[in-house]
Amino acid sequence: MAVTYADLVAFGFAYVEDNVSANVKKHKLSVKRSPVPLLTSEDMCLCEEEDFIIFAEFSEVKGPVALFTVPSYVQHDEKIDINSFIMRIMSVDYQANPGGQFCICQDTQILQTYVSHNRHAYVHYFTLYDLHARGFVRPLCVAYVSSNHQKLHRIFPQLREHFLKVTEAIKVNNRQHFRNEIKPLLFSLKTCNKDEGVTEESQETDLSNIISKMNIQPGQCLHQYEDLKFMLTAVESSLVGVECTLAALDHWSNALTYKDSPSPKELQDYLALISPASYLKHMNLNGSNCVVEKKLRPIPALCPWGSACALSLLLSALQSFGSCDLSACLGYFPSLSSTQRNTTSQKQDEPNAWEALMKSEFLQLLQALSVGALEASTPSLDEQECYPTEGSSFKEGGTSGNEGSSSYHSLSDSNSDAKNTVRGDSVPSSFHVSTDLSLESTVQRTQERVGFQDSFHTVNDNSFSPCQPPGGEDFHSIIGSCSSPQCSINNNISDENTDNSEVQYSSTSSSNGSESFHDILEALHSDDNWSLGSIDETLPLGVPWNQCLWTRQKPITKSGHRLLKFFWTYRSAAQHIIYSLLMGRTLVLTGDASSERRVQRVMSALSPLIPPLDSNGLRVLRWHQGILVSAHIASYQLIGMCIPERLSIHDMISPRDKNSVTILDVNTEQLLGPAYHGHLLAPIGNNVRDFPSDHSLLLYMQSVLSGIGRKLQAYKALMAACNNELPSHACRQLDVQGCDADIIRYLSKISF
Amino acid sequence: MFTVSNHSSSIMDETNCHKPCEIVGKAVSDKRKGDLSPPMIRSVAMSANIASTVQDEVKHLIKVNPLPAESASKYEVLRMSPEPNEENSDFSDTYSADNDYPSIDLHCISICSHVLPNDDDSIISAMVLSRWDDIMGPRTIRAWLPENVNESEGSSDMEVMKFTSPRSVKAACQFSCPHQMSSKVNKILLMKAIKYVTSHTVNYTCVTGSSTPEENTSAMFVVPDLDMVAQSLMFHVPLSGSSPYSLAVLVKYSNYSKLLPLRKLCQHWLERLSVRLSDFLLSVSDVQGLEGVEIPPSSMVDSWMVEMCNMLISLQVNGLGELCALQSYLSASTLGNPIVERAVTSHLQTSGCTIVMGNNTTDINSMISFLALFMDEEARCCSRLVRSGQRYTFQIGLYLQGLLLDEFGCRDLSTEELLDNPLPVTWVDLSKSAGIAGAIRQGLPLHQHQSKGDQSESVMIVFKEESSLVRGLVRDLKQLPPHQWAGVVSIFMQQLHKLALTLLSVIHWNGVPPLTDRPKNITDNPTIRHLCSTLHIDDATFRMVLAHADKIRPGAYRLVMEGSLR
Repeated sequence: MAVTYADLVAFGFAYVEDNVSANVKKHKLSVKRSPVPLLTSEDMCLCEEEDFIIFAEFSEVKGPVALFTVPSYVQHDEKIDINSFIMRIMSVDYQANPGGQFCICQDTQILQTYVSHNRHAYVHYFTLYDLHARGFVRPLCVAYVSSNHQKLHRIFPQLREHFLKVTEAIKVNNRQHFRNEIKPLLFSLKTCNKDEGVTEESQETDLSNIISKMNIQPGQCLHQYEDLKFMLTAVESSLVGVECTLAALDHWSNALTYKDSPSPKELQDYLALISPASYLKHMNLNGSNCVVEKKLRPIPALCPWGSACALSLLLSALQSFGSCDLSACLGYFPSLSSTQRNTTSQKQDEPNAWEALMKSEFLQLLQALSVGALEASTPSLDEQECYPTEGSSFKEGGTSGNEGSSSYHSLSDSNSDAKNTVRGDSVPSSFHVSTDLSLESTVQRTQERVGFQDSFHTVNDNSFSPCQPPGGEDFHSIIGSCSSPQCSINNNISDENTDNSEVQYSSTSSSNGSESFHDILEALHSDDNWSLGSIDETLPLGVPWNQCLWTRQKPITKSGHRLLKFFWTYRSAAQHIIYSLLMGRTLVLTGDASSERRVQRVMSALSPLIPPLDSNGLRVLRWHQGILVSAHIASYQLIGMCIPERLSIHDMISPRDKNSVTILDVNTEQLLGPAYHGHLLAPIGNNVRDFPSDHSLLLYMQSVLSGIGRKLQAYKALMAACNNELPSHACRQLDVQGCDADIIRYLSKISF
Repeated sequence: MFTVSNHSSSIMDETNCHKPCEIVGKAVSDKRKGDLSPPMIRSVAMSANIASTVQDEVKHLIKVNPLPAESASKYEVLRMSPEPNEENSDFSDTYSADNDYPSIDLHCISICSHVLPNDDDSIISAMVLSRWDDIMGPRTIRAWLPENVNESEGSSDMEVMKFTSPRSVKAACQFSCPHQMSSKVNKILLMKAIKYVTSHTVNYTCVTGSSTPEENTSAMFVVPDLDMVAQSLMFHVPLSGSSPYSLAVLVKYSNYSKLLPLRKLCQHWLERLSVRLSDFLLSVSDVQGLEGVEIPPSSMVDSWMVEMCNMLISLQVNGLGELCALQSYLSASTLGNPIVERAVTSHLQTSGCTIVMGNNTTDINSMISFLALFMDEEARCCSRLVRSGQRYTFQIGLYLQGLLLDEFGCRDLSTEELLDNPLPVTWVDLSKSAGIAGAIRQGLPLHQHQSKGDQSESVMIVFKEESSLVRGLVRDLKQLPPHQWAGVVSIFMQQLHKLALTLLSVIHWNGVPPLTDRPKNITDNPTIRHLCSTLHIDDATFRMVLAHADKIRPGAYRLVMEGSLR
């Protein structure tokens, strides 16, 4: 320490002994925390453990209960202990005003790290009102769980905004509902007050039922009346100024109750759940069959439209926040202007009910909500006595669902489905009095379940075959059958590298320098060859896609796939081709009749490097057979062209047109077009072939494009500053010359 | 509420005069033990119901309100059960004992230190240290409050009475602007907030939790009903066994948006304070043992808290704020300075952590605002300019900060503070005395800075590299008027970001072979040489990219520099 001190003094910095912390400091250095690295393993990204959302209630009977999760299979995931998780987040009363008098509580939000092991949560607590609940409140929470706390901290403000929107819909709807319940109750209490003689038995309404449920003693009517009136005032005043939410709720109630089209089964179940009749029936049945115990309505019944709206918002939350923070949008030509950032965050619209009802995820959630809500409000005693076989039969259901399906998703689907059915099977013992819709629907559901599972088998069989990675076979065939001279070159390279990499794998410690650092074999041959594979595929061109860069998945059938291969195959031509693309020259890819697939794939690989002329995407003529005329050239950026046997490209295009396009023969690697000399594309040299994957290369190409974008931005700014005079002058000032100036000038003309 | 017990009022004088307490003498503690009954705040882990049954027996528990009703709120409040609490005559100084809010006696309880600066720009409303007690549950050990809390008697009694019922407090919170509420209500809310934070940061989950002591649980609370936003950190004192502590910063709800960008900074300060506090608690426990004894008021600990407040105030006063506001400070002469390329290169290599020092306020501010163009919103909010006449010292955790050299060209700066900073620091010396060669200095590389295992002789190394990427950028910027810089720089940062992602992708695919022997120079490292040639960048740029990658994925820097982590 003396040394460092002296060092500073030498440079003229007085070190003043800080008398406050001098004695503590010594200790401090040793205890100093270094940040917990997120990058602990080379093989797994944090996003492998998906984010999920739990919606939980603090049930007054059972304590914390999870009502449902998004996505729904998480609830049945054995690796995630949902129960202990919600115990942790709901163990302490998070409302600011526990107990005490009735008031409209505001939401409480908490971000907590290390809730369980390596999971962190943003938890949003809110309260619904229910006349039958203790203290008239139903405490609830909805938690966004992630294993990446860095991300969670970053998105905290947005998460909070989003979840406030979620609960707003629920709360407003609930208060409407609550108000509508208080009003008649007040009225009846009033009449009850007026003449004490009228007993409750004389009133044949549901209200008397409710009053009796609420254990209102005749003597306390006045007290109760005033209490209720106070509540009514508070609730009504909280419903002022929420017109926007009310309108959204109307939209949802219209959509959900729309009669004309046959509604899906899940929706029917949901509607049955929220109808007041089902609740009363439920109460009566339980009263007759089981121990008479206070039984609360399920949450959806308290806010039917709000919860549906919230469900769809939760789905969108997972969509917008669930992506890994290491993912990057690739596969398209990036925007090169500086205003890109704020456009992405502001496209959240109000959830549309009609669209939501089309989504299977949403319907699945509705179903889960109905089931979860029933479970939560059912007292545990009740459950044991009424459905003694549930546990065992549930397991059976689970395993039988498991038989056909190997994928995780489908297991959980069938699980939840099985669960329903099981409940349906056992419910009739208590439901047998009623001969209505619900019974029919259970029977129907049982049948459906059988059918469902059958279909599952077939789906699986089908889905398996294309999923089989064809890589292995292809790999052999590449090595074995190389007819074109092209392939033989590849083969040679691969042979060389096979040796290399074998050495590498056997002895990882012998890492000397760059060659061992990198695995060319994988890059080249794990992808398909240019000409193999199915013919029917229509490869996307310039379509954005998103993927975490910490995985080794290949972007198969996404635009930009095989870009690395392109650089290997057309190594000498690549830079010039990209130059042509960036300066707006039409690129014509030619080949004989059998090379159509190859042309398609080169197109797809190159498409992320082509600046689109407008928002309609790229202008591409995928495969043209015939003579090329100037109209084609004017209207397309990329043309695939068939050269019939015994003809050459010179026969298919006029000499004048030929000079305005760049032509690449995909088989002979021959390039006709302008050559590039300059600085901007210098980063795309031989180094490109060192990249290990399409993914990293695409990222790199984006960085190169950003570098060009920086020049472009400077050019535009300079043009604006000197009133658009003399572009050549501006280029000279920015040291942009020759080919680089072509690129900059072209890119500055098109608006994207 | 303000029950002044005789002995505690005598203690109060002692508390207020802040006896220096660096070394907790045996004599002092003995004296304390003799005449001071344990302080009066106990937060209750149990539910309200249990608490209210206990409160009759244990007088010093926070009592839970039995709801007297008043009809003073906005809407009609009906009196249900008239209660005899009308004798409000003695309200001027104390609440009646019957009126039981979670009553920390703000005047005389020894656990409160009224030391935090009371400034309009101060966003901190309280700092709270709590501990889990195996018998009593969560306990507030000490609360640091603003200086003025005990002198805010400006409000009339009528106003005070208006807000004594819980319902009307609630009403007041919801239906009127918070700042219109009387100070008494604020006080009540603050006390409730302190209790809330205590019972939620140290509760049974942190004892039974699966989190190891190394994983210090941090939490952020937003509780509008209590007019509170809080950030907390749990920590363990090595010797005191299992019982965890927590330290929390409380902020008014209206300051929520101000706190948002400062979260990381506060987190770091909490961590730092917690390390210091645990040391302090250890030293206290050496003398008198920790169980059952509160920590004595210590001006040393107080000053730590004040330091944090002052740091946050300085950000409010001289923070960088909005990007457009920065435009006015930018000047073309900044780019004329021959050190600017090196400054930017090093600035980006140290993840935006830079001290700019000089004799001239304008020069410093224009350099700071230029370097600020390279930072994101959050880092900008944790940076500050200099203002002539204000004497700021180096503050740990800030990104960009200016230091105005005094007439001798000196500034207090301790090596340990530089080492303690979460990131290595660049320093840019604009004063002529330093000369161009030694104007830029840089701390140790990130991985060495974080490990601190081998402290090399020199903490700040003269920095002479220039990134070619930066050189090209500065060259272009020189052609442009200052108001056009921001757009170009933002695309430059995009490029850097993409390069960092590319780097991460490449090291993921290729892996990083472990180093057999540590190369002397960064360029001797074969991994780095290969990565540089793949990305087609020079060493200086590479370290910029690597620092950025570490921001995206903490640990990347060390991974690349030292080989695989395993």
